[in-house]
Order: sequence, then C-alpha cells, then structure tokens
Amino acid sequence: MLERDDWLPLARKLDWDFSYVSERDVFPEAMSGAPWLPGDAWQHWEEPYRTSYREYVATQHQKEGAVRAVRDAIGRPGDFARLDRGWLSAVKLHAAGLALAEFAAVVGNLRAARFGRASAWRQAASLGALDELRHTQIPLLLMHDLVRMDPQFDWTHKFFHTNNWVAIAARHLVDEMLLTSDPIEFAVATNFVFETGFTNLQFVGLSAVAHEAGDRMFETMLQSIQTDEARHSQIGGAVLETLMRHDPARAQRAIDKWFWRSWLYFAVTTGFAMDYFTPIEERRHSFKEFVEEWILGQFSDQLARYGLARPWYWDQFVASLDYYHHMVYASAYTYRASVWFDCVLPGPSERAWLAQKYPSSWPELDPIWRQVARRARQAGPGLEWFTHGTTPVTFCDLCQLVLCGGTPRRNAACLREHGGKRFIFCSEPCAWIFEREPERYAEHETVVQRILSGKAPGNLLALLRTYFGLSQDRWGKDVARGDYPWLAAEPRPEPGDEGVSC
Amino acid sequence: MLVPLHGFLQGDSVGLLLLVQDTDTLAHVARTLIDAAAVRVAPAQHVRVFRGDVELPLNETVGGAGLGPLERIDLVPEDAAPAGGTAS
Repeated sequence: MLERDDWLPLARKLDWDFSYVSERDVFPEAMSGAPWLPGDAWQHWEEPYRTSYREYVATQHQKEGAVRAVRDAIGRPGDFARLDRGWLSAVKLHAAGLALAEFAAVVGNLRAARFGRASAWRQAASLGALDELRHTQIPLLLMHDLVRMDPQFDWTHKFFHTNNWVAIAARHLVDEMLLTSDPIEFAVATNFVFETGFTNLQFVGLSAVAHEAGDRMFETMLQSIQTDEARHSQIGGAVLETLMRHDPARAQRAIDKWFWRSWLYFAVTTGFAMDYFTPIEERRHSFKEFVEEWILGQFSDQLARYGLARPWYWDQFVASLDYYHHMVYASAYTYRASVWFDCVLPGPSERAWLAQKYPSSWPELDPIWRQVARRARQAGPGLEWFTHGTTPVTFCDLCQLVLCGGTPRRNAACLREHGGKRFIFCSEPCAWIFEREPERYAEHETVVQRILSGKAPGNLLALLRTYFGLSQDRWGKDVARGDYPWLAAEPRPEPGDEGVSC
Repeated sequence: MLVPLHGFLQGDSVGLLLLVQDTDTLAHVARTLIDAAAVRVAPAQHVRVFRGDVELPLNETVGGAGLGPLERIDLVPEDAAPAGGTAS
C-alpha cells in the first residue's frame, strides 16, 4: 500500500491529455479565464499546504469541536449582558457582512474547482468551497442564538436579501468578485488581495481586539475561519506566479482594481469596529496602525515578491488611512437609522484617543463630533432625530458607498460623463475602475438613481421602512440613547445652530 | 423643473442629495444644504458657492447658472479659505 507521501502528489497532479475534445472545449476562456494558456503553462502550479481530503476532514472536525464548545459556553443572558453594547455593533456589522458573502465565495471556489487549469488548483479550490460553506454556517449558527436577546442579530441572515444601502454596496462587490469572476480573476481578487492582503486585518487584528473586549465567541469564530483562509488563500499566489510569467499587465490591473475595492470594504467594517466600537479601555492599536502593519508592511512585501508594483494610487490610499473610515462613520452615526446596528457617539476620552492616533486629520474631524455633541446635549436623552440627518446622502456610482472620500475640507468626489449620462465617484480610483469597464457598471443604479426613477421613496422615513427593510425596533440608534454623563460638560448649541439665512 | 444636485459643504463628511427647482436661487440652495448638514457642521452665516473652481453668484438661479441634473456644487463658509481645485 502506498504511503501518504507517495500517493498524494499523484492524486493532486492528476491531469491528462484529452483525446476526443480539445483543451479549449474543456476549459473555455469564458469560464476558465484570461489569458487562456495551454495546460503546459499551468503544470508547475503548486501551493504549500497540499492537504488531502482525509486530512482536511480530520482537521475541520477538531475545529468544529472548538466552535461547538464556545457555543455551548455562551448564549446565556448573563454572558451576553456583560459585553459592551458598542462592541456588539461590531459583531452585528461583521456577521451580516460575512455570512452570505462567504456563501457567494462557495460559488467562486466551485467555479475554480471545475475550471481551474491545474488539478492541484482544482483540488485546493474544492476544499476552499467547503471552507466557505463552513464560514457561512458558523456565523449563522452562532448569531441565531443571539437573536432572542437582540433582534438586530437577525440581520446576519437578512442583510444581503435587503435593499439596504450597505447591502447594495456589499452585493455590488460580492456579486462581481465572488459570483461572476472567472477562476483567474477570482484567485487574484479573492485569494490574493482580499484573503492574503486584507483578511488578516480582520481575522488576526480584529480577533485580538475581540479578545480584549472579552468576546470569546467572536474571537473563536474569527480564529477558526482564519485557519481556513490561511490555507486556501495560497491559491492566489500560485495563480499569480503563472499570470506574471504570461501577462503581467493583466495581473497588475487586477491588483489595482481589487485592492481599492477591498480597501473600501474593510475600512468601513473593520475601521468602525477598531476605532469606534471597541471600548476605549480595551483599545491597544488604531485601525490605521493595524493597516500599517498588515498592509503597508506585509502585503507590500508580497507584491514585491511577485514582481508587482504597488497600485498607482498608493499615495492616495495612504492618505485615506487618516480620513476615510472616520468620514464614513461620522456620516453613519448621523444616519444610524439607515443601518441595523447601534452607533457610539465618541465622547471626550474617545476623541482624545483618536486625536492621539490620528494627529494629522483629527483637527478637521473633531469639529463634526463637537457639533453632534452640542446637538445631543440640546436634545437630551432619547431624542434621536435631533442628531440625525433627514436629507438623503449621495452614493458613488462604482462602490455604491456614500461619498466620503478625501477630507472634510475637500471631498474627493469626481464627475465623469459616459453615454450621455453623468456619473459621480467617491474617488479617482473608483472612477478609474468604472472607466475601464463602463459597460459592466453603467446600468447599475445607486440609491439616488433609484429615488429619482421612482423605484425608491425620496422621503427618508419611507426609504428606511419600505426600501431598506428596517423597522423602528431594529434600526440603528445611539448605543446609549444619548444618555452620556459627559454630555453635560459639552458646550451648549450656539445661536443659529438650527439653520441660518445666507 | 426639478434639478437633483450633489451638494458638498466644506467641513462636512459626506455629500448630500439636493432636490431643487431650476428657478431656485443659489442662496436658497445654499441654505438648504447648510440646514441639511447642520447636524454635523455648525451653520455658517455666509457661504460661497462653487462649481469646480468657478464661484457662482448667490442671486443667480440654478437654471441661470447652467447647473444640470446631478452636477456637483461646493459650499465654502466665507471665513474659510476655498479648498481649491474641486474635481469635476
């Protein structure tokens, strides 16, 4: 009987010559991706884990046991009540963004499991698909237990099925990256950029933050998922090696596109969690510091290792570390009824921490929070609408997120014309992505276009209730309902705060 | 005629959708944007209105200024220096 090390290479590298169909028929470019290369070009495809199915099942069984143990240990009202309310918003945001996005990743992996050009790639992608199915089921299972204690957790499953503005943005990303990408683009976008470049930010960085916040369930969930990600993300580098040999320009374009799209996604989800939803006494590092370590440091090195350049907008990306997620959060707080999680009004100690971590940008951002705090003091506890916007915000025609690029002094939104229509983008990289493939993006309607075409109501309250899928008991509120002891020391509103004449 | 505009107030964190009439003056449009953003930006007494780098007169109408659907306008409080070079 063959030993494991004897049969595994044979089983993983089981490619053969076709006798009655052509290779192009078996692996058509439309499904396998471009550039189409003969099989010989892929024969050296390799990834370091080289796991067999039997080993995979045994390892996953152990990991499932750890998740089950945590699930058995939590779920009691007393445990849940001990967690900080702001932190729970981080969990709700991530759980909703994670569960069904991972299910879409099952599809992307299965496409590679059939149309990937090397048998070892197809085998790794098969295990990747099983991973992503697990990553769908774990948050659905764990968060379902919490719905009875907090109905906002219902959005773990509901989120992607709604027309909530965040869900529209998330679907725009997930549909393209996970559901419709060919295996080559999927490997670069998902396995390399998203999973190698960014998810360490979440699964290692945020997992450490969860530990500090005392949330053992979320910490265990993230760590359990991360061990899978570390394995199947290796598909990305292996595909990139071949792509760089045959079409380096295509590889660079894909990196430039997917790095920006991934950055916006993580800035909103992980940026909120680290800099606003983690209790101040538990914070060790800012979101920017995590990005500096995992992306400016490690991912930059990886790009260089493959002979890739940093994306052309790198300076703009680095500048946005100081602003982007802060601008989106300030906007989200003042439109919190449009989301499914509660928001924290940063008080003096949080603002002092942020000023220390973001010395170059906070002087521009702090006036926004001073104004919100003034109005919160004037309103008093429980009066949400005095610190809430009533005019619809505008959205980027590419990423579908709110127009929060640049700085408060100069918003980076930019206009472009295409096919006789005017489009607006949050940033030059989003405009660049659109202009490379306008036929792919031009017909997708932002929330604003849906309002203008009568598909969505223009009245904000009607928009929340009938289009975003929210109800008053579920939509986001101030996490303390405006009842902050520190507010008493805030300056009173100045004359004219409720409107002026020009 | 209804003219939707993307409005940006200097000091704010996000762009806002302004639904105005082509007969509205830019002073009215400015007041609408200032009121809409007041939750985040303390209202300024006087502002200047820009389309790109070009300042528009406050007594001009939306139609008279040639503003079409989904154009970008920027409001700069008078005591603040123009940001310069708004993208178009």
